[in-house]
Amino acid sequence: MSNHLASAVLRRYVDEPEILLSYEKEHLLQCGACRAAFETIREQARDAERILARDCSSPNLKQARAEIARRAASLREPLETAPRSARFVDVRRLIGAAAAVAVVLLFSYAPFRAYAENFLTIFEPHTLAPISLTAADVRSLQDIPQLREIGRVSTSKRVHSHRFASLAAAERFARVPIAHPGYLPASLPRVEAYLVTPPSTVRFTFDARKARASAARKHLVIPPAPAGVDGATLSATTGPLVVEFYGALPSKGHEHPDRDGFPQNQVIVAQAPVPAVHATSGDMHAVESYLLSLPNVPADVKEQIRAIEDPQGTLPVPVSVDKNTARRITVNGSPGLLIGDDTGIGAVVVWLSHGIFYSVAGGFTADDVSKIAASMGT
Amino acid sequence: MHIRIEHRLFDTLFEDEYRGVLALAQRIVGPAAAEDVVQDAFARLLGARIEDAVHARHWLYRTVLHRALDTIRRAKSRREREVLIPDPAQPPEPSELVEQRETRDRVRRALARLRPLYGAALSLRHSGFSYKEIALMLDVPTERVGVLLMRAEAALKKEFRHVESSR
Repeated sequence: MSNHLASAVLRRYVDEPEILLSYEKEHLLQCGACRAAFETIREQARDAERILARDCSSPNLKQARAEIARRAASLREPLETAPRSARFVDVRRLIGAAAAVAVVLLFSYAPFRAYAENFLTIFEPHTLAPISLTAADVRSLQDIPQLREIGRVSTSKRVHSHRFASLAAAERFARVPIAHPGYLPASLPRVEAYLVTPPSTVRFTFDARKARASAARKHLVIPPAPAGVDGATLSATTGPLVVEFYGALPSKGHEHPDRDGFPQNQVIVAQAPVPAVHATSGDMHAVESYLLSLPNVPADVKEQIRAIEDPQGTLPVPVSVDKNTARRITVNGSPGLLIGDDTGIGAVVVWLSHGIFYSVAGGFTADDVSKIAASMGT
Repeated sequence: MHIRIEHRLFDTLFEDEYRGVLALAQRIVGPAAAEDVVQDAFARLLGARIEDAVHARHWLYRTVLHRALDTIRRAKSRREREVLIPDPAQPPEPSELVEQRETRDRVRRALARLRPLYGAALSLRHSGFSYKEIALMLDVPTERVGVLLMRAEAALKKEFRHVESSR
């Protein structure tokens, strides 16, 4: 009988009987030479199996587990300390060119307004409101007096960002669970990095004399601080801030995306608790009026801020309307905003869930970025 | 879509696969070096992003296999490879355990005399991987796996006899 079965096929037939086609099985039944070869091959396979079966040992699993944990920890030691300049810039720039005003809105104005409404209320946002900013608004806001120019700013300690290569290491350092996407676009390179900035407290105290001196140097007219504002103190505690990078990783010291665009070939996820705010003194209505009367605060921005109905429960999010549109969405039932680039080449989703502020930004379609946000299971 | 190997899945993989991958590594590099290879792979698995649990198992075996083969390549000669084989110092054991350990050592000594590719093929098959999976891990055509296994089995039998006869 011609066309005997190859020994490699016969060997596979020992382990995977379904491999033979029906005519090959028929041949095996009929062909004595192939049957004999098959028996030899099977016996040899069984011998090898028997030899290998004698090689059994019981490893000390507990000891092994401990050693693996030790190695895993050493693999995920902090890679480096990011330069000081990266401390806050990355968060601010996540939302784009309107970042400067975000700092003012999120960390000073909104809490004051909230406090003004109710003396004992802590700022507890549970929803978001877009604040539309034109390019002219953004330019104007960049020129408003900085907090350091109208008062004294101090931080509880010097905080540094730390970069990690794994989620587990970042979580250990941050000491909070870090939400991470269950979905990422298939085209994204499978690399990731984490930047964690520990919690910190910023304390700000109005200083009318310093504000006057600063204004004089800049030839600006700052309205006199009303009674109750001078000496008013506000402290805001926030963090840990966690920024996750997926895809093209930032080079060391440049952990922020292009400030005028969406991160390309990259997804950036950020999370931070909403700031816990405490005011120690002062007439908050007066403070609010004073802040809005500062030079270069655009009239339309003032109107939008005043129009927020629930200031103590609303986190204002600046949106650059020249490039983007914003619409209200929900992310797994939590209130959020989808901010899209008109060109369709990028989007940001921001949302609040259980006191944590989340954002996902990427150079992908709004649908993709929304899908990433939803996959985080917050 | 990828999953991250979190502690729960990691624990399951550890429970289910540690012995298997350790056996694979032992068959290539011997017990002392095997623990190092396997523990390193498991440490890297924790937190890795992998498609699913099945791919995680493949990843684990592939990683252990490649690291073990790298280790054996560095041990240039067969003699050097056999030096890798003995177990670390053992506490005194009852006679049946001693016999069991001696048999095990003979198997490992025989395995150490094989070409690393043969040892890897035998171990992967013994661990239950299909021919396609073995082909992928060893980077050979699927059709070649049967031949590889046959030659490996014949060589193992021969080397085991040799080790037995030289007791």
